[in-house]
Amino acid sequence: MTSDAGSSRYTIAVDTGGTFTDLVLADERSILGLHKAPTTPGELFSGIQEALGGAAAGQGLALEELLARTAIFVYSTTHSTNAILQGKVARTAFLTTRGHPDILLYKEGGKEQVHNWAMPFPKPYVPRSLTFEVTERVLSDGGVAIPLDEDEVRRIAQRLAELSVEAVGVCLLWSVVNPEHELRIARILDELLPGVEVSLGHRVNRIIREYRRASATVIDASLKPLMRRHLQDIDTRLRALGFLGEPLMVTHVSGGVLRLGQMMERPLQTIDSGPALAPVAGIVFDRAEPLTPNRDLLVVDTGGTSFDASLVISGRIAYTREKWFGPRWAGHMTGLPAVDTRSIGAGGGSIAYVDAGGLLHVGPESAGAQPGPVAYGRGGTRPTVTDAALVLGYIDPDDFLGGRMRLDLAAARAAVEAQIARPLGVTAEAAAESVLVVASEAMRGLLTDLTVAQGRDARECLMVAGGGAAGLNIACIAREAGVRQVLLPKLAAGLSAVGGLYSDIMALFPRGCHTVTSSFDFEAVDAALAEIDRDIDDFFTEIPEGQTLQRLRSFACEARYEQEMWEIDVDIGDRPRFDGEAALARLHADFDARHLDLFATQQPGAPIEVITWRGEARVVRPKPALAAGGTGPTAAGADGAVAVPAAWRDAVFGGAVLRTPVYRGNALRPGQRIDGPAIISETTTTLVLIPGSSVLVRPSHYLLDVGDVPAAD
Amino acid sequence: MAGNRAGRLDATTLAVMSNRLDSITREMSNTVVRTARSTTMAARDFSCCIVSAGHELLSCPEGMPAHVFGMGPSARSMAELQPGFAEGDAFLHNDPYIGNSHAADHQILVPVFFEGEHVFTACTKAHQVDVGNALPTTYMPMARDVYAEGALIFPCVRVQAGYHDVADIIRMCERRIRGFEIWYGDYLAQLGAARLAERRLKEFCAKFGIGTVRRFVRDWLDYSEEVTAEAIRSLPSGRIEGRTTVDPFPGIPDGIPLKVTIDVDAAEGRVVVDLRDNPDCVPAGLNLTETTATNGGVAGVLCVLNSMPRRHSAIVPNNSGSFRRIQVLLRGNCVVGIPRHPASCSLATNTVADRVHGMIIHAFTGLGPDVGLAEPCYGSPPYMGVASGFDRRRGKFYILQIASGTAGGPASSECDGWLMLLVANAAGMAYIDSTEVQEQKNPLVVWDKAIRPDSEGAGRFRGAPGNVCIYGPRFDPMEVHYFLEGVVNLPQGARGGQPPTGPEVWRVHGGEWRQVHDTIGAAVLAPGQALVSLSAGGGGFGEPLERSPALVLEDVVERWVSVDRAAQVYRVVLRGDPSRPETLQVDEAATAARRAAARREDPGAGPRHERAREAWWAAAALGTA
Repeated sequence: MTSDAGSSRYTIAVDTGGTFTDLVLADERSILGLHKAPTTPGELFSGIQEALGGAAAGQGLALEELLARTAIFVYSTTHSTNAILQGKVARTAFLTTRGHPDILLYKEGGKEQVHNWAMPFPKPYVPRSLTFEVTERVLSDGGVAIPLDEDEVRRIAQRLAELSVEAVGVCLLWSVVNPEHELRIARILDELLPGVEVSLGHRVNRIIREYRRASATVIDASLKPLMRRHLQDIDTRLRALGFLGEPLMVTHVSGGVLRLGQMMERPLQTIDSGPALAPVAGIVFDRAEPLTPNRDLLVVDTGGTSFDASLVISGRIAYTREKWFGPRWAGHMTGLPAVDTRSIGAGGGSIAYVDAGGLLHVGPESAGAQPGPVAYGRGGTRPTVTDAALVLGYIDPDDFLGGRMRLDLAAARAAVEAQIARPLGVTAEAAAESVLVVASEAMRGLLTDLTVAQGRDARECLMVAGGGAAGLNIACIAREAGVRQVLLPKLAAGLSAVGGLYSDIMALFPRGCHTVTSSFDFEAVDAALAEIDRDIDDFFTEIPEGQTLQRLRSFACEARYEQEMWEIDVDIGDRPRFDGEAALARLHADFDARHLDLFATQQPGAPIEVITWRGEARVVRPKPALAAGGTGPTAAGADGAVAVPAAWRDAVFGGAVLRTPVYRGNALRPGQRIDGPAIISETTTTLVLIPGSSVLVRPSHYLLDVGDVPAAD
Repeated sequence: MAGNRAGRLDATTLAVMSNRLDSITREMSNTVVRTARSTTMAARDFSCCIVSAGHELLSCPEGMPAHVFGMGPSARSMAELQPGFAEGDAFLHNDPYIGNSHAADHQILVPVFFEGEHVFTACTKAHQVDVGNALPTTYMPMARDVYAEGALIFPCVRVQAGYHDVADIIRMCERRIRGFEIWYGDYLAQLGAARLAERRLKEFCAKFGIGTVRRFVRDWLDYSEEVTAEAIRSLPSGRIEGRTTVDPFPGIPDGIPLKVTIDVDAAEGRVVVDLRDNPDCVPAGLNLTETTATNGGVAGVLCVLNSMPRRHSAIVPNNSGSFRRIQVLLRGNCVVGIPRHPASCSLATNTVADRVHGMIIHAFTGLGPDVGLAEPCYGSPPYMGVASGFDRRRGKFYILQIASGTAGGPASSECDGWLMLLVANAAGMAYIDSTEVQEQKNPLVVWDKAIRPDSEGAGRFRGAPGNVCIYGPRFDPMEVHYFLEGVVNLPQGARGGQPPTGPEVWRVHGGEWRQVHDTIGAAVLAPGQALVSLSAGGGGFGEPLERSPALVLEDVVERWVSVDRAAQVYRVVLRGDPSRPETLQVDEAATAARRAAARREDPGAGPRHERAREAWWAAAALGTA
């Protein structure tokens, strides 16, 4: 399809994943296409360039022409994530208050597997040999108990030079209340160690709880040198190829974007930013579906090795401050407000096995891409979810990944037979169905944990399912989670790239200011809110007026009943002033309601402690349509034509082999309805319709009704 | 999907239903953590679980070891004492003589009904900050009996009927429990979690049907039993004995010598733990309850099975099915057995219980070269003391259990000890307090919280080092209760591994350091004074001379172990400038020669370097708001 020539201005969003680089191209009116290219680790630009080539070819343009006509380029990168996983970050030192050198080692405690004591203790992000204690102490009210020993800081700076340190994270106790000592240390380091990057705790993440702030600070510092280089490099290379548009837009972990210059100062924000875009896309697809208004969204993304989930509540993406980078407790936490994306190692590559007690397990061990499932014929010997789907007839062995790879059905079947069916004493088909059921159960468990933590009931949600492997068992997962309807985007395989396209320029500004409603400090709170308001003003000034639509600000606080240990978020509207008893009464009412919502208990009238105040600044960017010709239910016109299968194939459902129609996605028309059992084959994904389920074809997506859950035996 | 083997549920349904129950208990735990008021509960000193109508523990994925076993017996006591229990009831149970662990653990039991039939009991158990003891602490080692202990005892008392509080009970608590608002907030958190489980379990029954649920309960426990039996089959068979001695306490001048005999029958897949040859109950708060004594045996064996190298593919589940393969023999009126009222069991979840756990995992090292572990840290120095006083900022009395430190785990045949074990019966599950949160909520200052170098039990794999924790009041005097154990009788190393350093307590006053040797400590600190808690490390496994020199160098560079200790205990020769650890390298030839020469020498305990004893904070500006 060629665009009409002339003046179209393009927007490009790229998501560099671990395996594929996804690119979504749009003009001012709508999305024009999704293009995928393999990611080359260590050389992310080559995948971008290849995907750009595909997009240009799709428009009948040279790559340079496409870029010359591109106004906005949104970039979601795994560069920081990979750098941390591979230990390729800057050599970073940690400076902290004397007496507390082990903040990063102890973290907040906790351990997996209660009875297993033979596990290596996780290493801290910065080793003790690069940790330096600074004589000083600030107390909880900001008072200085012990003044800063500046001579000692100078001696430490000399040591840091000796140790060839490239970056320093400074995080002192109570710097959120009184940052003076951190600021003075920064001045000394700037003077003695020019060229060394310095991150300060109160700037990186202004929250109490020293571990989270310190962890955020050192990770931020460790990423600064390489992320500056990387982002600058991508921008330079795009411009060398003819890109003339606005500064690169880089996505962050809160589901928004920042401009190049802004992000170079906040590299921490780029970690795990890809999955954070999935719910942004979820919101857009949901808006294109008129039959499911006002529903909370459960957004899932199934790849080859992981299953990610996030939640949208009343149109707003659910956040958490407890996102682990790596495994819970053993990994690292930054305490930043991040999109609450959760992940388990369950996907097409997950390995199935039967244990000594005769119980079937699927994952968390994965065959990955190498050797991959048995059916790939690359040396994999243990059956995976993909092998099971193949045995069941859900995947066409001759048409996998658009025919780019032939799958070995016989080998897959033999592995399922020998390793699952025989130990369980069932047929290979029954064993394969069990593998999908158990895999779905693990995914269901993740969805329950997520909805529970956010105080929501999965049964009231609409599911939006993305990812290349989403369609294999999504109906099964949905049924078990009690979800009735599932929206499957036609661009399912590039959900995060679509999210990048629709993301706004957005940043969060927290301020610690502790007060209790029984003796509310109006003055201090007003001052904190005014400071946040000024931060937002400054943020807006950095972004030139132009084609952006709206500039929005909103405020929230993180509060708890007095003496509770953990806070919850309460919206306090878009006005920066917190003025008088009426506002206080509203805060009480909103907090009580939210507490009831989340934990099924409340204590109306009990004093509330507010720990942190937070502002959100958002510059809304233009939003093209999801599909050419609009996305309304009948936009492309349902002309009553009945969908015609492209082929028929045997597939197994509930133990029965059924002759199942296979439809080509590009032959289906909006408005058509297909009942299961059926298989819909899109170029980048496959949708399996189990008996009792049905889909409605839409211009931009499929709306799946999973039907009634069959009664238990 | 019907059963396919002799009426057993198929593997898929079994996997799905067990996963569903674990989801429900995780949901309960989430509710408790997020709504807890006390730091004790927020530090995860609680357990949530689901018990069958037949009083067997089904699901407890994240429970504390000390809590787990007793949930079944507690639910049984509900049926026995409250035969008319009905929907909408909730029971408060902390009776140490009928199924509970110790008086400080309040359990909330909610019977769950489906179509009029009792199908499950949802339980939450949590250590409280105060339970009305004679002194402001939940640990009363000095109590001669339950009367001196003073705790309010609730022998499975109805605390809700028809989903409403029984106000009498709440009022009793209000009169006798210090920091009542905190207790009540924690009670709501526990109750909220149990009520949530009640709703979820009804949905569970509705979804799967009551017939399938009944078969699931039977088959899931059978499956768990089979996995446990299979894991036991991987051990060598044999009879082993273990011994350890609890330090002297006031009134117990010789300490408490403990003994265990363990029979492993690998062919049958059974373990028998005999704890009957132990002293009678003691006139102190140290006696175990039937629950914690049994639990000590079960948890010790589960720990060995789950910490084995080349572990079994399945993790042994934490439920009554697994417990069937581990028989624990107890006798009446025994310090590690079945206490007779009014013996005090105030410390029944630690001290003797930790010793029993440590003695068992250590005993197993006699069974084979890669079985069992060294002994873990013991003692309860002030990093986990109970502190109280007046908070002038809030105009209120405060009381809390400090959780500002930890203690070291023992080494095993292939792994160094876990740094943050805390105590055997917390098993590293507990959280550690944020210093900032601690100081914001309470009028105290934590001056130091760091690892304690050179305190590890040396070995081929070393125990984890202990912890240094120093704190004091901010404005007004603070009262702190704690106790020491494992000072005289250090945790034992295994197979040539060494013991760690034991716990110590110091008081700092105006820059002057004074060691406090009291076994049972009660300190009143003024502003400017501080209490120094040095916790124990864990025992080592294997000869220190066999430790990889590269690992010793890493410990030195990371300042877990000093250069002197590396030389004297591990006999590793390092070249370079010790003040610039990045220059250090192992002299392989000199190390090999030194180790060969040292083979027949006694390595001795070696040097112990404490963190610099300098009260650098003594000049701090304190005492004013």
